[in-house]
Amino acid sequence: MGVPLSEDLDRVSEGLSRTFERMSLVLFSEETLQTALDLMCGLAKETIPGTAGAGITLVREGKHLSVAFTDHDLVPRADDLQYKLEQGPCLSAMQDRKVYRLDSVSSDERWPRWSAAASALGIESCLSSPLLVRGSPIGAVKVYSFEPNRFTERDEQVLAMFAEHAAIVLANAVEYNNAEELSAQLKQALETRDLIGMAKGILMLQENLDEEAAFNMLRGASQHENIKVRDIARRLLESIGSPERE
Amino acid sequence: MSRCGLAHIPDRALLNQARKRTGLSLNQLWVDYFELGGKADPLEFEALFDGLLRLDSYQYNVIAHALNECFTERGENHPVPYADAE
Repeated sequence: MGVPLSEDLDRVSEGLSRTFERMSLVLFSEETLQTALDLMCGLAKETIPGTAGAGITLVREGKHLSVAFTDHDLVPRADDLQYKLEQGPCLSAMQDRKVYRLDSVSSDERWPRWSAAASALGIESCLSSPLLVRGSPIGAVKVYSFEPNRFTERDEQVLAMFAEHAAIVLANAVEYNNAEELSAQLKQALETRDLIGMAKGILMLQENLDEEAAFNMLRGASQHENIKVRDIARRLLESIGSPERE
Repeated sequence: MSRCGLAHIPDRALLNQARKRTGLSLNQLWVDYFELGGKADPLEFEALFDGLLRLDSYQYNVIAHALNECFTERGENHPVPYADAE
């Protein structure tokens, strides 16, 4: 059929490199992790011909999360089946760190419970690749089709290439996202700590108490009224800012 | 301030049990403790739970209250006892 596989793959590789480079630039300027995942899913579907649905799963905090899919019904259901049944090509792809291809889900015998359930959903072909960072799986990317024998050896190699690029971008996006979340959480925590600090200071001055006693006073009110110390503190500060004092 | 002695500071194991009941990780609890004015950093905080660092009545009460505020959200009434001031 004309072009030798290696040349064909080189071209695909080049195209993927360029696309992922562009994606990285976009991601680090504005986009969130979810956007990255959605973009990548769409790209996986476009990159492998004949794909009915693509999905990406990430492992976060020990849990497998089906985090992006090109259709909202088929792919999450097929994915969730794997995690519920604790078997499936994506799980194996992650454990064995290789691409798995099913040409006929209904007659494949490697993951019998999953295959039965997946073919009931209409899935007949499936290709799964792990997303590896420094040799460890951070998740998986998979494509499904309703037709049997849809995916070829070329598609396996293309998906593997895709997964290599995607893993790097995703690992960075996940780290960035974690750092952002932590940063937001700490910022909020500092504001609350300041608020409570100010309230303690006011009580120390007004009631001639040391810090521990001031805290105990706030805590006592919190216990008595069943509202949080931060809300007791806020109320105290609001009462200080009353019109008579100005 | 009168010294009430160590007998009036409830047992650290109690704190650990209570923390497990809340389902909060050490890090999550640390953030709540930090908001309430807790002085220990995350590593010291872990050491406090392990019994490796001295836990005074003030820091103990901050931890106890952080746990109790969590329990209050679930409708319980301050199950973790407080320490008397040293």
